[in-house]
Amino acid sequence: MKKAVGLDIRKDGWTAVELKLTGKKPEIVAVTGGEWDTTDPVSRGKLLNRAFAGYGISKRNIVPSLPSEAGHWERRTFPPLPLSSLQAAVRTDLEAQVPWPEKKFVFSFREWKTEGEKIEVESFACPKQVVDDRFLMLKTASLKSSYFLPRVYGIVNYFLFYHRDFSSFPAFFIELTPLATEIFLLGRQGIIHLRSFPNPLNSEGVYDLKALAGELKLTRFLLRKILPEEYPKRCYLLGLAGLQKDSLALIAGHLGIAEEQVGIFPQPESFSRRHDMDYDYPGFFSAAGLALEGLGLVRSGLSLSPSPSGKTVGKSIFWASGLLVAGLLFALGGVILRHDRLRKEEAFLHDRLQENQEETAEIRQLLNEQQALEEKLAYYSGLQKKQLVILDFLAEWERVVPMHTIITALVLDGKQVSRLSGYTPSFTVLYQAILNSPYLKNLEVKEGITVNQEGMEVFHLSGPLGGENGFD
Amino acid sequence: MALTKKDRWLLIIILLSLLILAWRFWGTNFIPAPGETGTIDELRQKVYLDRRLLAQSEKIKDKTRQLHQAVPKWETLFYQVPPEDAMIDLVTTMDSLTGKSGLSIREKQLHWNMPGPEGWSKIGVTLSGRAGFQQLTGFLNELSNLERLVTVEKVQIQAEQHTNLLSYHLTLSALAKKAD
Repeated sequence: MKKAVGLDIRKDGWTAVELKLTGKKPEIVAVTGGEWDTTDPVSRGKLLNRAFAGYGISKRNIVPSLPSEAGHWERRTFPPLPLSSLQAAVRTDLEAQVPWPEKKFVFSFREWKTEGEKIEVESFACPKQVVDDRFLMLKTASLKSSYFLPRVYGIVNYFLFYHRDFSSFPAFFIELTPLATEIFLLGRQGIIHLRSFPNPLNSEGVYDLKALAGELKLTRFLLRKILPEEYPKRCYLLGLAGLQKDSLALIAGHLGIAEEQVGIFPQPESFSRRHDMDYDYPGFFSAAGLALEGLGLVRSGLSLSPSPSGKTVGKSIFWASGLLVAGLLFALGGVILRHDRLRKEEAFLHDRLQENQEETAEIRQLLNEQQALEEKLAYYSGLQKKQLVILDFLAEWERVVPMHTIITALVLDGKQVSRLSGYTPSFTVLYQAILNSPYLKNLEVKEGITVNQEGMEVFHLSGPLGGENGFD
Repeated sequence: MALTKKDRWLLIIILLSLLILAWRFWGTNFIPAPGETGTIDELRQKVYLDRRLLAQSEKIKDKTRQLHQAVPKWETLFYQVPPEDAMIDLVTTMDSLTGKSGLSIREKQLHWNMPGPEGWSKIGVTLSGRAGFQQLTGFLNELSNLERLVTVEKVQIQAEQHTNLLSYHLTLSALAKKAD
């Protein structure tokens, strides 16, 4: 179930209306309000905090208002421009109109298409300080809101939502609150004219109706100029306006409309009215309209957000830091989990080693034994081979050397020929034969080749006997 | 950066959590003990080797059994008597063999305690003399037919001028049971 709270904040006090959406029909959950006893936003925030807590009003989805008298409203005609260009044009126009420095105000606008090529733009600018003060007040009260609406748009929202079949546009609306007066003209395409000013008081401190009459007269002249063909014929009074003695006749007279067309603003009969609630709070309609906007049932299109102040930036930094810390925590968690997993694995591996220790020790012993036995066998086998080396050598020598080659000296130590001397008719032929024998090819010539008295070539060789001829 | 009271508490809670985590894991068992770093890989390697070893255990046992059977067979070729007795047998056998081959022996030199395998003593004899080529090869052939394994360690042959004889030095060896 969706809920929203409209909060009308005025100079004199505040009014909150909490609505809940049951199906498509909004229902009032709570209405309350009060007066300010201070101008300090933090103290006001504390007061709101207590009041909201006391009435059990939700602190989420709050739509607060901005005072019309503190801002600047205007309706202008612009050529058809893309949104970004239009925004720049509206800003430039507002900069020329408002009394505040360029960067000291925030604004919002809404465009209305006309029958011609031009577009009409309704804009509202407000000093940054006013918005920031309200934001601080809401923050102190722990109220969650992301944007503000000019308070007259709350009234417009309410009227348009509950009087969809209203056709007598344009119509005047006059609201008197304890400290301010709002006069606006509502057409089919939004507000056409808006005047907002502190209540004029006479010397006795009572509302000066003559001053109001003067203001209405001026409005009448102005509007006759702007809307010569469709001058408004109806006027609604809100708040204290309906309670003023002779106010109906005075307003009708000075606005130039029939007295019977001036009436009290329609009471909230459309709501599922609860008898335990008091709907006569000043700003009730504005607050209810703001809550309707919060429920998404109407869209005024003129919302103002607080400027990105140091506090907002600070909060962003805080959350960024929070994210960083969370990241670090995750990283630390990852390291810890990995460490834990490694510890478990280490314990498991130790267990496995321990479990197999006896059996593996036995196998290792067997391996050592096997190695010793293999070495023994290799040694014994070597002894047998040694026995046959001289016979192998002589057999191979006889097979490969040319005829008439004679050995005169042989020293054979195991497989090492320390000296092999002899003579042959041609050492070249002998050496070629030796090189072709895998068993003898490692023999090298020592000393020089000489020729003896019989004309034979005397040679001296030495070197290891090879093992590639199948004798081994 | 201005923080609200709520944000400050949140920050304090996060920092405290970090400190507790750090104390829990760094302070007690997070830092590895000296020498512990890197052991996990060694352990994995050890367990892997153990597994392989266990998988091959039957094969290893079979091979060891076969070797145990083969080695004694080889050892039957050696003298199963102490070196002194073996030397007498060796010299007697050589005398008999040289006589049979027609080798004349000018000198016999005996060798004791030559380096041999564990449990065995190596003994040897160097025979010097003169012989024909056929006689010498005949003697060497006969050596390979002996009941005991007699190894030819070293051969030195020198042809004599004007005769068909060879002057020879043959160093022979055999293994004998080491005295306990």
